[in-house]
Amino acid sequence: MHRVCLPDFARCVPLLPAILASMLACSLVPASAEPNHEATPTTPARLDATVANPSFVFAVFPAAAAASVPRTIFLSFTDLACADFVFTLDTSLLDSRNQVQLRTQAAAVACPTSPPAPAPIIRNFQFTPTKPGTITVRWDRGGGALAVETLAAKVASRYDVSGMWSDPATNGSGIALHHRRATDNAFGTWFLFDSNGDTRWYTLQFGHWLQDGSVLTGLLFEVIGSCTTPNLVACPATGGVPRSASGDHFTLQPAVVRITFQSATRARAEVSNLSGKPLFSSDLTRLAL
Amino acid sequence: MRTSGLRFRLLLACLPALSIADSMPSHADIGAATPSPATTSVPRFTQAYSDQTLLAVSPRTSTIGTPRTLFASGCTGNVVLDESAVGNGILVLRYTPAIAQCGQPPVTLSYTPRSVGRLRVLLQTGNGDTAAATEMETVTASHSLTNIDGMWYDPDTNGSGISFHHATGSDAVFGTWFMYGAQPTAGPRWFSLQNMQWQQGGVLLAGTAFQVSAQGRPACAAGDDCPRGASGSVPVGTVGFTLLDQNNARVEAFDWTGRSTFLSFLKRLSF
Repeated sequence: MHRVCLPDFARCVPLLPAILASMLACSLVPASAEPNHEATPTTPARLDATVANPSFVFAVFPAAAAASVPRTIFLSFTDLACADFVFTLDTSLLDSRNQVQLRTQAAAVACPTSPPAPAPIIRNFQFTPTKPGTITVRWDRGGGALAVETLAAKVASRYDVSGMWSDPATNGSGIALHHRRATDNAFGTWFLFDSNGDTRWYTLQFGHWLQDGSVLTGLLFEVIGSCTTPNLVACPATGGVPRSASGDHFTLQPAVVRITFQSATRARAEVSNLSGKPLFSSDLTRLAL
Repeated sequence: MRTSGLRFRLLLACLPALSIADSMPSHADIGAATPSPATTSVPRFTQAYSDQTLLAVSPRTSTIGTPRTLFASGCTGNVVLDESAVGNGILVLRYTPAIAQCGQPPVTLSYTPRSVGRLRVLLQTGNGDTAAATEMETVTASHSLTNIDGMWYDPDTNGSGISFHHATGSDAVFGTWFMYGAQPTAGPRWFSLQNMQWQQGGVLLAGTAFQVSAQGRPACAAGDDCPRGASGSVPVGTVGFTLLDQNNARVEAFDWTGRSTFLSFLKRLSF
């Protein structure tokens, strides 16, 4: 697959027909996952600091979308930091039996410290359905069977939602949404605050439309970066969504955002973690400039 | 309608009024401006302060109705504005020297020009001795050459970017600059771009970057990041966004003395 990758804001320029496909292609492992021996130290997503360790996550995003929309399997579990795992995504039964199987093989462990420290292990894998129907995704470490729905057709947006959206109840924050109606791609940044009252921002990516086109769902990623210019308190810098050294998977789990547009000027945003735990919601109004 | 960046409390609620009022000042705007009381807020992209007696205006050039922030540093205690000579093109900041103010962050005052032209700004002692001088320029507002709505980023610092929302009808622009803090509090930081004015025939968009702080009571679980109300904002510098063509621009940030702090060459994200 041809791809051109730029980190984050310009993660992928649209040389591909759809930016979503290209973003996933840039970020995640190909459909037939190559063995991965990496155990990446992680920190919890600040959107959900109550989860000190993502002890067990097994989720697919998007759970419903049209054929040819790549689906991402997010998994995390806690094991020894020195552990070495090989993951294999088996899609050989995807077309014939609508099944995807993720297998985990633990390799020999040679821990340098005693006792060995536990650490969260986070990975993501990708597959792309080709026909309408329901696919069952299983992981041999548990989590049950996830049902992934493939719609007969892509859902088109009902409104042009480009603009600045804010909740009057939390009007120091807001979402900057950029929506290209021709392709229906939507990209956003959500400016929030941390518990100290300092500014934080998150990027909304992999957005797609659901239901009658009035629902936009996507992933909300924390960005990581640092201004290194001397004497500056803040400055533009490289950075973005944290990834493994090899770049093939994220090292922080994103949150899931679902924005239901009641009209072109009013919406409700609901943010949850990958396991479905609600984090916060906002009743949004589009800023009239 | 008067607007002052230093007085924002409800950030987003104020934005429509701010942008539109600043781009199209009414007669009431021109006649109503008065200086705000002196404050000691901390305006900075930078950490450095000078013990020298310095005087600066930010933004140095803008349109009628755009509040300017006047910065006076050094041993300048109890600074007050004297507008009695504005008709002659001179604005005076009178101060009483105060040792306690030496080496402190600059004192800031707000002033909104009422007519086009240059205004000489003097920092004077009570007996009329001038300790520092600068100028501010007020120009006629231009109309933008092109709509800049979209996400802009610099390929060299491509984890950062500016989101611009540009209303074609009013020509008002609201921006948010997404960047990163420095150690030890490195992490994603955003700044609100306000008082944005088109100048130089619609090629230059100039305004002020504000750092917003949240209200003390979080609206979500402790330790989590979440949407919150704004408790206040302080200017951290001025910003000049110069269009090179429809999809390329340079943006430069300046500190309160007018010194360039960083420069980015931006591309509009195409998606």
